[in-house]
Amino acid sequence: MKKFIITTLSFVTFCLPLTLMAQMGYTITGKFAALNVPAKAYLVTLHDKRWKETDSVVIKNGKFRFTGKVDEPQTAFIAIQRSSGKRDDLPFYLENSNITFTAKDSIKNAVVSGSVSDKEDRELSALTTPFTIKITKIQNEFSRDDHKPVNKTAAEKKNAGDSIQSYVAQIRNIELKFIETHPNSFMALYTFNNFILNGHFNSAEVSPLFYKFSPQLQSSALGKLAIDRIISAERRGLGVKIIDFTQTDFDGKVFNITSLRGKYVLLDFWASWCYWCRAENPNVIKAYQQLKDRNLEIVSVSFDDTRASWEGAVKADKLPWLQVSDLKGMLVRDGLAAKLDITAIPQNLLINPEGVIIAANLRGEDLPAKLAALIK
Amino acid sequence: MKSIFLILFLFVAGAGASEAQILTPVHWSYAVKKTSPKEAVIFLKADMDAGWHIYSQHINEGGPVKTTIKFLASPDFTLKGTTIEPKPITKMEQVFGMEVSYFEKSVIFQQKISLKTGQTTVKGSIGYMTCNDEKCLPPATEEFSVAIK
Repeated sequence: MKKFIITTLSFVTFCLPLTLMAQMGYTITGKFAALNVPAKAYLVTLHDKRWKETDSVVIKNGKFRFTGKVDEPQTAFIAIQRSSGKRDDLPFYLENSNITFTAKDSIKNAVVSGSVSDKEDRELSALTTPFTIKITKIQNEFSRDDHKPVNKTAAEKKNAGDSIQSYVAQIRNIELKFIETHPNSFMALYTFNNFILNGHFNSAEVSPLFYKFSPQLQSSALGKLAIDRIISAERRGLGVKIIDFTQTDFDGKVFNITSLRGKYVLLDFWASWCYWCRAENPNVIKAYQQLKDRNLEIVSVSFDDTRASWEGAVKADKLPWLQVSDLKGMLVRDGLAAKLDITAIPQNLLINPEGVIIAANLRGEDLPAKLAALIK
Repeated sequence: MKSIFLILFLFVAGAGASEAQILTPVHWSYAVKKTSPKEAVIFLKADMDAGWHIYSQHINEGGPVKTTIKFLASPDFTLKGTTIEPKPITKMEQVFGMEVSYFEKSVIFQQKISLKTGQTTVKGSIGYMTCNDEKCLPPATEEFSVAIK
């Protein structure tokens, strides 16, 4: 009976105060058992993608305290600067609750309590860390600091690659399960935004998951960021008609993607500065030579921002197909990269004669074969 | 008077691996060391997530975007020499048809300045780009501001 009451109580305290806590703000208290030098505590938070010291206080009798209010939970850290010059810090999730750091002399090893997001983060990390450790171990075994070749057979390398892929898939499953089971959790939204919405996510696959979040989370700042990316990524999803867009070729002539209806188009996103794009170009050249008479056009969209670097790379790599760019770079708001949620390159899309995207991110020495299989 | 040589990197680094993807794989932090009443060294440190690298300040045209550090001019100080970087990893990259120098894990750039006042703020920007073993992120600019006390 007693047990039942306790569970009910903690359930109530857990569910009720979300709005209440938002009004209350946060109180962070720190207690050091054995900090023997003068020191200062800093609360560091993220403002517009930059870390800023939001607050600082001199530690007195081993204790510090910060109070304030945040609009929504967020990553933050407490840093301790000692007069000796030594510093350490501990990341945590700041939210409007009473958060306590209990430490001996270093904040790094402090026990954090009171932040629900932080507790959830630690729970999730505990599940995924065994796999990240395994991945790191393999990566260390197969790479050398001095960049000399590693003495491993092709079979060993393949096995290692397969293992890493399987661990990555297992981590993803853990994250997906965590998100599905925590629809009211900021940490779940954070995980969704940072890990499920990775470089090449499939919009149709992940958007149902997003709509399982509570309305408050969906309309939070982080929620809005996520939905923006989902909507942009929908535009590069398989089965979706490519958006109308224009770019300019070397002669200053406007290129409109709709002008290639009736043909297969490999739309290749690249830039002169992008190592992996340049490394892939020989494969694209091979594909072009083999398939240009089979109703395939290749269009390379460069995210360069100067004509000289763009033109230089096209000449150096001897690319014979259509080259276009707006020379505005990749980060411009409302640019093509933003419209299609392209955050890293190389990336490509294969578009069919009707203008529908039928494949994405085809890469490698077997690019001609991969393309040939898709072109009718 | 006893001067204290402290290098306080502003707490940007090390916010944990879970941080990595929301921002960028490169985390900048800044520090200053006053070496005399008239001189100081500004430290600009990049910590990179595993597998990512940034490029040296010295790369020829036609390759990856080099790291470019710019200091905002101020009547309070003058730059002494150029921004120093440690010895990078240098490789002949067939892909770019040139030697390419880069840094992994972490790197500290240093700039000496002559001070005309005891206290000032040094501001500037860092242009850089980063790749890992399969993709590249677009060139980015990071602004910094370091207080000298």
